[in-house]
Amino acid sequence: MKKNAVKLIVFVLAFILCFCGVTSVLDFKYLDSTFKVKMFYEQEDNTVDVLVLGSSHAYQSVNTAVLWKEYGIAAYDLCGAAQPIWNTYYYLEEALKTQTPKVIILDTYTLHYTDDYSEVSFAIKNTYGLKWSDTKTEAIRVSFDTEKYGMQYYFPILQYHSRYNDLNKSDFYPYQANEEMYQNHKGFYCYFQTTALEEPDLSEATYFNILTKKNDEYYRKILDLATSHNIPVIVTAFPFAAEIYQQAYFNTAKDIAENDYNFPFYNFLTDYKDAVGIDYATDFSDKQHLNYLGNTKITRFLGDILQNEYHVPDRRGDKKYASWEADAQVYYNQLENHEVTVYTSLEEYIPVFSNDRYTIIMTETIPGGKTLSQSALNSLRPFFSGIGISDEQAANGGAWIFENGELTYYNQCYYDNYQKTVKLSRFNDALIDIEIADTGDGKRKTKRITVDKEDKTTVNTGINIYIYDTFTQSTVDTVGLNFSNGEFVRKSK
Amino acid sequence: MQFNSIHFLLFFPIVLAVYFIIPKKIRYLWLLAASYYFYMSWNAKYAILIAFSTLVTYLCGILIHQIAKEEGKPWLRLKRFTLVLGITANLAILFLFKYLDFAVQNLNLLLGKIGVTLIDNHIDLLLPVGISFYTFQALGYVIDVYRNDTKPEYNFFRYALFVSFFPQLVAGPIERSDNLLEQLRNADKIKLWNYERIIKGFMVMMWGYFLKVVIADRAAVIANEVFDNYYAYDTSALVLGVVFFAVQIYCDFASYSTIAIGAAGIMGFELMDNFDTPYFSRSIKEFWRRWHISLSTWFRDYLYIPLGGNRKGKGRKYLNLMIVFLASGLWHGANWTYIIWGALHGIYQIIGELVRPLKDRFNEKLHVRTQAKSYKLLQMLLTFSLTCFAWLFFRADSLRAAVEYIVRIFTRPDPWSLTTGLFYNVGLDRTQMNILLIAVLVMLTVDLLKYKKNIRFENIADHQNFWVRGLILFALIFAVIVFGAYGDSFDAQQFIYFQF
Repeated sequence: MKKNAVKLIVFVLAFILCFCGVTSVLDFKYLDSTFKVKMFYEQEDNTVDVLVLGSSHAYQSVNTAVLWKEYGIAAYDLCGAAQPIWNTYYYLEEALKTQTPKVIILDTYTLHYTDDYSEVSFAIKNTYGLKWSDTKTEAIRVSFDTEKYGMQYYFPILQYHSRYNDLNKSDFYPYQANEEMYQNHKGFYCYFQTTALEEPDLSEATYFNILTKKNDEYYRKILDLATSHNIPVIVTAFPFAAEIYQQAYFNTAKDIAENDYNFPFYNFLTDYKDAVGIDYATDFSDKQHLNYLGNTKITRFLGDILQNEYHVPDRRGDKKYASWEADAQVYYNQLENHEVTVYTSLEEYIPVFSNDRYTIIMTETIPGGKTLSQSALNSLRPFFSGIGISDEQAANGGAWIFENGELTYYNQCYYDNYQKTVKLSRFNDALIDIEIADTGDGKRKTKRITVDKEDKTTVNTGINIYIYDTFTQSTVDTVGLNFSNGEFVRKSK
Repeated sequence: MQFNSIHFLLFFPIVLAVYFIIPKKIRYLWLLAASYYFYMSWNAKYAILIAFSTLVTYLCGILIHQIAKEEGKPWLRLKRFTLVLGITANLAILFLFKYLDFAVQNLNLLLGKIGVTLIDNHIDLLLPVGISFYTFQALGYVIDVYRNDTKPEYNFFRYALFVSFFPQLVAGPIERSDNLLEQLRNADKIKLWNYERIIKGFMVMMWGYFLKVVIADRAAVIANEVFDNYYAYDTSALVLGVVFFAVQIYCDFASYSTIAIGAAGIMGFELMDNFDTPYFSRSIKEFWRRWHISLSTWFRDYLYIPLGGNRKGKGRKYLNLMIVFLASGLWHGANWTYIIWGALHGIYQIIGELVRPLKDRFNEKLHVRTQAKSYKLLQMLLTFSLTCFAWLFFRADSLRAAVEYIVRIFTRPDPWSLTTGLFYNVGLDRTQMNILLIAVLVMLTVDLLKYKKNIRFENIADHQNFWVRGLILFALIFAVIVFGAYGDSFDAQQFIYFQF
């Protein structure tokens, strides 16, 4: 009996251990939702001064990095993709268990939803990140139509167990398998691409669309809860390619916030559009979301208000807030990476070579395998000397590797067949591959740069530059100078 | 409440926990309450039906027993009358809920030829789950009492538990009074804390779940895809569809019995084996000794033998066989497809008997080694093919669909599909198909062990170190949790046999 009991206990313990391991691998790790909540739990108690709530509009509009760098404001975007307002309420309830924000910024985008339940996938995204508590079970009860689906959504494993089919490295390593980038995450997510939009004409939206009963209820519950905690709320409608009927919902939202609760409503689609200076031609990444230019404008506008009207303290220099500094650095690194991608000449790249975040692979192939002509050398000398490469190396061509801002490797590639691997990150290697191959215009020696089986070579003869950011663990830029026609070429990502 | 539902996952541990701590004398009452709760979770009204069946057969049992004590012809006649009354009452309910609509529709079809319509609308009675199972179980009891094969049960509640015992209530095994009822009578003598038995019961349950959620529900995706869209597929996929339906229905049905046996085992009851590696059968006759054993023995004992069995000449034997298999087909459902399926199995066996002398002479002349492995394998393959052919009718939505399906199999050969990766594109993607194939391989291995060496799944690790059993359990549990076909990406499949 005793022996059996021991066996049973060992079995059960081992089972629990394995079960936890398996579920933690299979569990959802959505960057646009559940992960933000998970990271929120890692914030030290009572450090978040500005709590940003709402949909993707909020987490792509309120730039926590700019708020920190320029105002010293510690904000967290506790948001979720397409988050219905009832989920926002439960997020607030959860947040107030550990944090005492001085101001709440509330996004009202999803108040125009008319269904009482969101799509199941979004309901999952906006509830499953929470830790188990009454808040979570309530959130699940409200988010899923239990009459239709029964109890099944109370058991997240029923949903995520089949993820074995699409696991990747972020399921096996913490922080999305990129600690440097995500271990200080504050919920903000930035797009750097630009989509030119037409500015919506909302002048006819002078009427009021009535919120659904459920939206109205939870919108008010949020404002009530904040009021009961004496936390002022800045209610907002962030800019997007809105339609008139949507603006009519924001009219109602504004009416409720201002008249029933005495909270200000900042409508960046209409009232505050000009004050912020939103430009629909440059400030959007897609129809729904602002890009880095747009969110910086909005954030500075809000930063001024937070600092001047709400007197949110400047936390810069406070050791407790080191993670905000680190998180801001992520954004500014990304910004720096983005700025590289607009360069159009080799000379502009000179400072890039001394950036210690980058690993850069450069190859130079001279037509016919000869040395570079004097005139060509003369025109390229400013670039080569700028990055510390001698005339002799420049004239002979070859392959160079720059790591941590320094030249760490050079090979003239004299031999026909040669391979060199370069470690880029824990998961990525680059390969420099020199061989004789038919490049289309006859057989010649080629120098291929390959990363993750993808060819990163831009030109056959000339200079190829591949830039990898070891911080964001991503390709920054892939460019080349074609010797046969003198063109500067960029390989699209 | 299905076995693969959250509801059952909560229900069963609670039932067990209480069962293990309450006084011995009232164990059966607790199980009765649990069984009725289990059944009523589908539809509370069903309880009335099962309670009625229970009451009727309970009274019949006692009456027959009392009458049997008297002597004389009128008493004998009364005894017989009571039996007939009991059987009729139960079959009438079954007919009302299961066959009335079918009968009316077919009658309409017949009368339609002379321009008469009997009832215009469909009679839409919801078929109570498991009605065919418990009705047969209760009838078996009455007949047993009549034949004096078993003592009547005077304790109504104990008898009610026998009819409604939740592990096997809705999909078998259809238990016999001399087995289950006898065990229920001795329920208070069961030594509950038997580590070996509990662990093995749990193992059997998990194996059942594996068969259900890893294999059957996944195979169902292929079968559904092909049978629902057979007009869009050619020979290869059509054959694949029916083979995987064979896999699906076996794993589905066997899983239910397996879970039932495991669950009952944990509580100290031994249910009869319902499936014994049926696809390794070398003849259709053997197949029926291995497939749904509790039903085929039921038909043997309560229909085939009373009809005269094989004691009244060949012609009569074949007739009896046909009657039994037509009844079996009809038992499975009120549809011509089931009747044809049953008929096919009857015909297979009659033909098998008729051609046996011919076959024997052929084998003798050509010196065929009938004991060779290759010969046995051939027999198995042939039997499996015949079974599949019959399954085709069983699964098809209508007779017409079944016929068209068969016609397509023989007229749309597409051997190139074997190399163009078609098999990874019939409902399941490559990963899912590979998981299915591996799981089927595991199932075949386990079945082979049972077939060849008579080692049952729960005894596989008996002579190994204790951690081997632990590992097997681990593998099973995690295979079920991770690779089970449940949740949003798979529609929860009902156990197929619930409809019967």
